[in-house]
Amino acid sequence: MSEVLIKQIEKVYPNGFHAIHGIDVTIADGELLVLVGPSGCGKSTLLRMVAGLETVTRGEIRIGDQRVNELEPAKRNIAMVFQNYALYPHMSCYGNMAYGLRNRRTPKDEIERRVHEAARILEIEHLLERKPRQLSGGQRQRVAMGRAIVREPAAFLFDEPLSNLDAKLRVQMRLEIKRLQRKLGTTSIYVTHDQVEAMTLADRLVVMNEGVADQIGAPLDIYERPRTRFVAGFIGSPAMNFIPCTLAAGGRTARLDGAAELVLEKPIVSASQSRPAVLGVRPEQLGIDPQGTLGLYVELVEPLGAETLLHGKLDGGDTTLTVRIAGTPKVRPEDRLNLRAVPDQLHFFDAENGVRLE
Amino acid sequence: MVENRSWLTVVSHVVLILGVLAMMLPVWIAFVASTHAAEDLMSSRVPLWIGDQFLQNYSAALSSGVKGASSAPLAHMMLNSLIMALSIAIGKIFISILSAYAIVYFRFPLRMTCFWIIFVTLMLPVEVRILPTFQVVANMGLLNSYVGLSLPLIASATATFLFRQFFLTVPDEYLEAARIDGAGPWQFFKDILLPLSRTNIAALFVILFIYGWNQYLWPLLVTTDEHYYTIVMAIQRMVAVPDSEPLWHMIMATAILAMLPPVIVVVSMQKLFVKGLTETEK
Repeated sequence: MSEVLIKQIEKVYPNGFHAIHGIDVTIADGELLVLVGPSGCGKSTLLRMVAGLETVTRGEIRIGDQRVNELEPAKRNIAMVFQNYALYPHMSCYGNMAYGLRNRRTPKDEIERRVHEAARILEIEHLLERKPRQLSGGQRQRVAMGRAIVREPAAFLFDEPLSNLDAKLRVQMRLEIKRLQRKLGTTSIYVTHDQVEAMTLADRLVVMNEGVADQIGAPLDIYERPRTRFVAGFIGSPAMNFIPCTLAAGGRTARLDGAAELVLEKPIVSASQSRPAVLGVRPEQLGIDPQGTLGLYVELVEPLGAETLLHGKLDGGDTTLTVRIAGTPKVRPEDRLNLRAVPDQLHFFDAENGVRLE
Repeated sequence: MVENRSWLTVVSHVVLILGVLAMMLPVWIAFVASTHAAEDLMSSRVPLWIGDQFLQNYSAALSSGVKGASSAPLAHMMLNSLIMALSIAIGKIFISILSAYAIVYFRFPLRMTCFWIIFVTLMLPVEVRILPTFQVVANMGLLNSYVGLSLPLIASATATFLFRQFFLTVPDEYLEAARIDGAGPWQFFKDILLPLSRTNIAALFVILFIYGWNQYLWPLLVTTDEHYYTIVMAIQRMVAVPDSEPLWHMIMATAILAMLPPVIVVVSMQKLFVKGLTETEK
């Protein structure tokens, strides 16, 4: 049990590519931290630096009380679950799980005990003698986690462990990972590009974009108060709608591109004078309302049963909007609707650098 | 595309059977000839059915050798060939798997240069460099020895290249998982890479064993002592006997015997061999 400290970490590859631009985050003992971001944002690089598979260019990583920058992966007291599981194909599941312990010269009966204990927790005891290729995807996933558990490490590192599974199994394993992590209480870092996975698993979330941690915080805080336009668009599904607008001086009203005007409940105090901005409003914060000020020309209707997604264009502009409505409203393509946004759920971002305006 | 037409099946089978016959007929004639007495083969008609001298011919060939050609018994020459072929096959695999491992998994200065130097030697088969190689071997005093027979043929760019290609297809995650599992370079090689290369090693072993067994020119050059003659050389020496008729029944018996070990190796390792050449799933 121990905390993981990531201090001012930077990564520059030999070819000059600057992958990570100084990230600071502390993962508390027993916490599950999720690194989320689009591909190429540096989240896997960061994880691999913690694992010791990539060198650290600048900054410091501490696991427990120990600086681990220069330590071999095996000496860092971590365990990693890989995207493709990386189970040794010629070894049985038992052999796969025991291999790390054998290399550490753990006594045989201790290995036996730990492997069976892990297998019992993961319910794979009957599979121990099989080879990985004889297992299904979900079973391989369990064996890969078993391999991590038996080491009783200070931290688990998960590198997109669920992306090779089909959708149904993914949801199931997601719950299981969460349950297991709670039960074992091991500090964990989890990398994913799937924001649903990130939201459901994380104690805290790091949203990464081009090597920078755009926002670090609890999932719901990030959902409710995204710090940048990038975070706002990345977290939440379907993605947030963005509408170019102009904030009036004093920040009490916003004039949208489509000529509609919104009166704000919470004035944007930083808008001392009129300025261009971007309004962000989530699809689920829009509702059909005959008195609404936003006109929508419906182009596509996606009924999902419990809810319906409407896609269309905002009146008087080219801005596309997605609206999420509970149930199955009687709306057809080419209809014209009036919408109303939940007033305290409007987000404004700087038109230039995308930073949240308050 | 799978076609299911009866005439196509018939045609393809006829072609295949003709191919087999063309391949097998010379072997059959050699075998038949090796079971007849010498005089039978001097007559104009070539016998097509097994004679009655099988045991006499083979036991004479194996135990006492062929008069006039070389007096070494074939059994001893087969042993020589076996030693040479095994040393070449095992030595080549050993050296090339290690060099491929170094080239693929280690970052050292001039790594690619090393690879290209090894690769370029593909253009220099034994026959091209035979004189300088002979000079070196002679200076080292290795003429007429098993080391001299096998050592110069052991370095192999082909096998290094094949192992390199195979190692490049092994996912990096295995190495990373092994590093996290605390395996050093040697352990990773021994515990992970070697078992994964099993089928490739088998396929290469078959090819290299036959290559070593069939060596002709090199053993001819470095051996003058009949104690080190190999069986492939012996066949030629038997045909080229001065001042007498070649003993065809003995020559054919030798040829059949020389054919046997490669056949045994291929048949016994066939399953692994095919897997090694075709398997892509790791």
